[in-house]
Amino acid sequence: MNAPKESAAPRRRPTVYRLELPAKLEATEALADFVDACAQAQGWDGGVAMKIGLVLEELAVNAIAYGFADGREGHLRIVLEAEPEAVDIAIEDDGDPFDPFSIDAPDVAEALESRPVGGLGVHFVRSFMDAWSYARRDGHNRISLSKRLTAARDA
Amino acid sequence: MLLVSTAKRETLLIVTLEGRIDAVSAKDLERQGLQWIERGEKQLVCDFAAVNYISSAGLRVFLVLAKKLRAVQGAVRLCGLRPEIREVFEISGFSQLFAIADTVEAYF
Repeated sequence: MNAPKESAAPRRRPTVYRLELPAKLEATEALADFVDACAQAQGWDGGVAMKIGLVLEELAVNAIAYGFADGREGHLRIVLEAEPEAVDIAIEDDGDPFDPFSIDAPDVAEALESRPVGGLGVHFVRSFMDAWSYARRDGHNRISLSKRLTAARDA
Repeated sequence: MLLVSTAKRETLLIVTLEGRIDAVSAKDLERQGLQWIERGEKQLVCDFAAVNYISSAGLRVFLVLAKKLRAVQGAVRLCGLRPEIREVFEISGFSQLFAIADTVEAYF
């Protein structure tokens, strides 16, 4: 009989975690507790949790600095979908259009004197995530990220 | 949440950091660092053994302090970085900009 057996286990539904923040720098402190809670529930090791927390902070800080440069009120919404093998993250805000991936990668070999400080955040996103994208839709910026969780990569 | 304590040993100011150096705590750390330099400290040794997180806002503080101290023949030295913190320094290229040792004692 050719019908597929149960070898392809039904795909488990991801666990979804959500966080909404005011678009204020001080509010980014809440990211730490959010990522800690996800890490505990999902059993991520400290390295994975730190990388996800770092990427979220960098993108949130950028979104606030560039999307809300005039200091007006706004919100960031983060949706994290966790599965045992992967994490998908969406960050959405209602700020001015800003594509963080349009920033040039920094020269990380540059000397102290000439070292600029911008661009590092997005460099971390490119280093720690496996996929990233940006879209502008209905007056919102939306960044999508995904990270594979495999023993080989994160041991 | 970041705890910062300092102790003078010989010519070095030992800065013990504990917790997270993020976009919020980095601002306060920078203010303190600039005060140390203003009062004449030239040799900072920052002990990272109890730091479990640093973002680019945190890295930036050490760059600012290092540039200021370079101008007066001083330096910022680091020690005790945990592996995941060390990785952030490596990926950003910041490990090339600072002396990094295992412990404070390495600088005596």
